[in-house]
Amino acid sequence: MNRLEEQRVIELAAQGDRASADCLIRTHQASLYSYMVRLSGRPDLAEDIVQDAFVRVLMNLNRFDPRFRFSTWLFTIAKRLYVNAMQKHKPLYDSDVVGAAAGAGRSDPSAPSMALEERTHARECLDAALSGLNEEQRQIMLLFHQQEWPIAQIAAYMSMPEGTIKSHLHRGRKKMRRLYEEVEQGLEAEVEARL
Amino acid sequence: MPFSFRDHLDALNHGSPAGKPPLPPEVQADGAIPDDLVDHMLDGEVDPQRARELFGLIRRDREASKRFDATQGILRTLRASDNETECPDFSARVLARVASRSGLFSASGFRAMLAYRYAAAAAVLLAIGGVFVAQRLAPEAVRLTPQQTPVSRLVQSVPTETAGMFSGVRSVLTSLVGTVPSPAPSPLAVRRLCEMSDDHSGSICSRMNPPLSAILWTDDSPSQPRAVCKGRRCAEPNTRDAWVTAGNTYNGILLEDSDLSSRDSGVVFVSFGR
Repeated sequence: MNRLEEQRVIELAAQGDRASADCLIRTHQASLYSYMVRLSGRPDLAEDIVQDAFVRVLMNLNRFDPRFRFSTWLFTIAKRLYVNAMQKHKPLYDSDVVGAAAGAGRSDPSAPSMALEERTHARECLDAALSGLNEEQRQIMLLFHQQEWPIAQIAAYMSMPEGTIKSHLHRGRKKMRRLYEEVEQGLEAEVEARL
Repeated sequence: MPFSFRDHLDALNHGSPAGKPPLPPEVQADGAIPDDLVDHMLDGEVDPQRARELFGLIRRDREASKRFDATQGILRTLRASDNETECPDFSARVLARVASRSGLFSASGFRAMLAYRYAAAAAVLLAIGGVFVAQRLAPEAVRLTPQQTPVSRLVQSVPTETAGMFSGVRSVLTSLVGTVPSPAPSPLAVRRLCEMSDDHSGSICSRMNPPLSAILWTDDSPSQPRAVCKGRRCAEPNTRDAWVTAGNTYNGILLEDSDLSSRDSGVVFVSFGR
């Protein structure tokens, strides 16, 4: 859906058209949920936040400023809800839960077990590396490399200059690579110790 | 034209061009690739041709190649995890919550609502158009005032129009007066000797009708509610130089200023009915 089409859908949804509201949800739910799962590390929390974010957005569609991207607005509301939730509850990044959610329902029993094991191993390392980043770096890494947002959009979303976003991105990549390697080595050492 | 990170990867996957490309100026003298350059490439800020050149250079630097592959592997896993995350369907739950709060319309309901809005707008336009046409065809039928006078006869029309307007206002006021009960007489009304404010304690009461000025005053003690009329022109008989007692009615007690004695000047005030 291009921005013009999306604008039309938003207008109709704001007037109360159920089909248009449904279209908006289906277009953005997967990316928002995936982002929230990776950000919070908790699929249950991510689910609540995504649901609340969509309700808030649909209740306030008449306030949407068409100069901005709808996804930026939606993600901003979700982030506020996430921050509120984090203030109420202690942050928990459970990589086992995230890994399970990421692979849930997708594991093909007929797939070679070696490939499946490699994927699980990579996901574990990834989750551990992500959890080692600070909040801003994690958000920026996810938005740029997972959601494929342009740097300008991330800058608008994070209320930061583009240069700062790039710095976070560069530092985040280096840190992730280091953490990933550390976790990988740790897991390998664990396997060898078992053998 | 924006160049996405995925475009970069596509460009890189095509491999390095044949032959050894010239070293870009950013590449260090020992052939090592600076991290900043790789970061710019991963940020999508390098055009595809240059990205291919850099990729070729990275492949020549064993350490840089290792770091680059490790970073790419992590980013690939990150993107793959996005595709693998099973997303629940939020649509039904969200729409149910929104509908319970603000109201959403089904496709047919929404069409009906739109049709209703258009019909209402069309009805308003038709009504306005109808009045306009009727005014053209039968002005008498849509005349709002009983009689209209042409502007050319303005002099005659002004009194007529004004009279009509005032008669309308009068009829409205008359009907209102009929519905509003008249106020009950104030207990203080009979005690007033002349016009003064409600809280007339300590104030001068003067009256210019009849044209002789009249002044009443009491002594300076509010606890003694009485007034005295001094002078030759007290109209009421038997009130000259007599104390005026609160609670009695004295109409037209008059006193000329000249009758005031020097002793009384400066302490003139009235305190009735308190």
